[in-house]
Amino acid sequence: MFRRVRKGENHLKTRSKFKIFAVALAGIFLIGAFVLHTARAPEEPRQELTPRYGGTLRVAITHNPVLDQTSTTATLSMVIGRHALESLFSLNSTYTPVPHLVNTYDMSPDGTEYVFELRQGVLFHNGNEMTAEDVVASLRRWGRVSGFGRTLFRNVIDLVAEDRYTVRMVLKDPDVLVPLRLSDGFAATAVIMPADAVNEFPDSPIDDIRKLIGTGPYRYEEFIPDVHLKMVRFDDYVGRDEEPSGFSGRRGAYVDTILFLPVPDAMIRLAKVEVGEVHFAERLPADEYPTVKVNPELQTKLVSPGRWGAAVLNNRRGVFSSRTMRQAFLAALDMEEVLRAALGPEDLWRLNPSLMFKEQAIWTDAGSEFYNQKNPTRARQLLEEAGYDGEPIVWMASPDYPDHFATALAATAQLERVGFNIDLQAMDFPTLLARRADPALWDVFSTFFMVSWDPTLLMVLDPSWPGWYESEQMQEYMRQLRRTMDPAERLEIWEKAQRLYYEDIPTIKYGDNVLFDVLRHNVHGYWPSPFPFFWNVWLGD
Amino acid sequence: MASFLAGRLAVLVPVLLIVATVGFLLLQLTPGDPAAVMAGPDATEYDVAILRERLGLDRPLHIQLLRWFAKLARGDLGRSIFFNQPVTTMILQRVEPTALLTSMSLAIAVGLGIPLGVIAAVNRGSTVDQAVMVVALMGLCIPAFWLLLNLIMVFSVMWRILPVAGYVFVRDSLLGAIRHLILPAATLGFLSTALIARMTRSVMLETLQEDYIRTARAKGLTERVVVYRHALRNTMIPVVTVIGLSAAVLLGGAIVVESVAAVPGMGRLVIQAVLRRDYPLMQGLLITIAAIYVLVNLAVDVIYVYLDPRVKHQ
Repeated sequence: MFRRVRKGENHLKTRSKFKIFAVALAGIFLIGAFVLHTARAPEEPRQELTPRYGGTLRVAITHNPVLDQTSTTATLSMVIGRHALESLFSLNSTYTPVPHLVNTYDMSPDGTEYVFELRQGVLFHNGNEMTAEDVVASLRRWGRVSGFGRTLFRNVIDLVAEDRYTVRMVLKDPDVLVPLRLSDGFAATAVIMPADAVNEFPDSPIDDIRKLIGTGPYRYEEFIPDVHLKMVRFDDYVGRDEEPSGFSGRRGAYVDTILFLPVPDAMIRLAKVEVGEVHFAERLPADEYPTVKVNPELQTKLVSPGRWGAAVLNNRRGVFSSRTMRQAFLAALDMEEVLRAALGPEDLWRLNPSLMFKEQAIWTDAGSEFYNQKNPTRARQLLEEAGYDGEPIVWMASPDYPDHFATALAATAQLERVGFNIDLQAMDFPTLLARRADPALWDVFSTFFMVSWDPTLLMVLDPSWPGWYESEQMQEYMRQLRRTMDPAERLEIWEKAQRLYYEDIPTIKYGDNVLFDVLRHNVHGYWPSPFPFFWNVWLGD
Repeated sequence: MASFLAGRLAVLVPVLLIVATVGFLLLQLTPGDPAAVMAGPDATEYDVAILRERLGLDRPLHIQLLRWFAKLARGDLGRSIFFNQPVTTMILQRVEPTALLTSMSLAIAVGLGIPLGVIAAVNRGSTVDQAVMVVALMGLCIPAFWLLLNLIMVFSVMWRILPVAGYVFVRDSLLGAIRHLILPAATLGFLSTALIARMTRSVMLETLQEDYIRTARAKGLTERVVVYRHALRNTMIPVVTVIGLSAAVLLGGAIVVESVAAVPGMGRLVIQAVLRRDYPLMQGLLITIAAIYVLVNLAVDVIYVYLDPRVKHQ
């Protein structure tokens, strides 16, 4: 190696064997990695019927959550928080609210007054019993800190603890949906905490896990950002006895510890669940679905209702303040193409004209003749009618969410073919959120919505939400829906409302996204839903 | 030496102040605010405005900056908006993974880079030299995330001999910590190896042409002694600069590698702070990283003095 170099000497001695060997080795390495990737001995998952106590459940999440689930509409906070903090009502397997911390309740015939009888002997993580005073304090805080809470409390005239276990709520206008609003089916959740914990943070988010005290089967133990959020079993949990149904009923804390691990990269989350470093990975890319489906070490569960993809139009200012323009937008679109581009495998998307899902009782196809028209001719007609002069249409989409962005790309291509002039602006999500607030800055933005448990809760029908759909008639339909519990009546009202929606078309729905959960084969007792939860879950071999 | 050090350390203060101010202004000019991010996508503008007010973000810019400087003078970097923990605490939490990852990466980079550079230089023009240069070129061109993902695929998913991602603290398991960092360190190390190898080779080639090398050979010393005792030491002077630069970059946080490998290092914290517009955290990280750069440069200069006594007398 240390032979001295003489000037002018030629060095082309045959070390080519070394060269060839090195290149060949590298080549084999990489080829082998791809070819052998799927060669694995299949394992038969054993049928386990008796829950086992013990173990640590490891869940891979995308990022550090905002700790206080009441203060944010981000769903990750609620997915985690529900294990420790419970609500007065809970959603069952048909996503209907049933009593949870409440024992029984009464609603006045006109829907303006509620009396809640609380369960007795329910303990907080600090050992104290939950009383009506805690409920009132928690709900008042929710009314200040949560957007959904503020919506309800605008209508609340009075909220009192009548005795140790009784709470009375009086409303100005009838609202039959109060149990739903007070349930655990949402982010920005109405959770019940001890009054003194709540009063320490009357207006602001609680960001210390030691203060996030609830009644749930697990409690917060430790949070190290970017490492883990650790929850451990609450041994004195006082739960319900009924058979589990959806989120409601009995909540068995079988695993000792739940570790939520932030893993930002989706492919790494997938790799971790494939090798068994975690038991559950959230939000895996749709493209990986065919691979995970056939992996014998994993269980893949389809989840519907899930999400739906949309293009939100600016109804307040700009070209889409014209209804004809919005209708032109709708007429041009081939929804199948957009969904396929964004979501890939056919198991993972469905055409669906309704803003509700087929699995929900209030589903209707009213207005569906306008959905998925695929009619460029009609679109051009409408553009002309509207007097569109080719002015650029600002469309915001964030590549931080590849599926959002893909819908924008696919739809833009279709729309440009019929004559829309689209200025597609890619930006990171926080920028999009900031710009979304100003109607002067955009005409369209791309997003996905989680399932709504009731049409009155759809953000796209709320005039104060970006998009700014203001229709007195639609608001009247929403008021009517809040006044009656009768399913047949509600369906009739919603049919009219959805028809109006398709005439006004404030926001374009592309279709449904069926989600999928991926777990290790030895995880038992898991019930797939749009918001994963891990009580009643146990680990086998 | 003492006055030299004191002079260099004095530069630290104005540098940090400028970095902090420029960083603050740049961040504030970027659209987006932490309240909107925290309130979540389904919040209305009204909800966001309320949260913004409660977090104290609606005060004028110059007031916010002045308050930050006032706190800094007391040694307080403020609190992260998103986490509501002291910025100092958060940064200190990251020191261990970042320091360990940096050391391991540098060890690989230096341990591989310098010998490869020497071998290439000494066997100039041969196949070995060409092979080393090709490998070095790969190191400069290959994207870090691609290399890391492939390494993970082979070592973690296929062969299952190393963890996929994540981190274990040294206090819980030293071996665990190292095992979790092997692949990220190999990735970062490989990328730095390229730089160091090429630099070593160039400088060594020049050095080997020097008169004193000719003298050493004329004295009858073996080639090995000539290279190691005479050429190498002089080669190290410029190479140390490159090593120092690499170290500073690594200490600042290898953002992509840390995010992919889920390592709780400084880089990962930086990207989150930026994406969430967490101004106090971002500021704190900026001046910490700027300070690291300055101090590493200082260390490099001190090493120069040790390597080349002529510097001391200048």
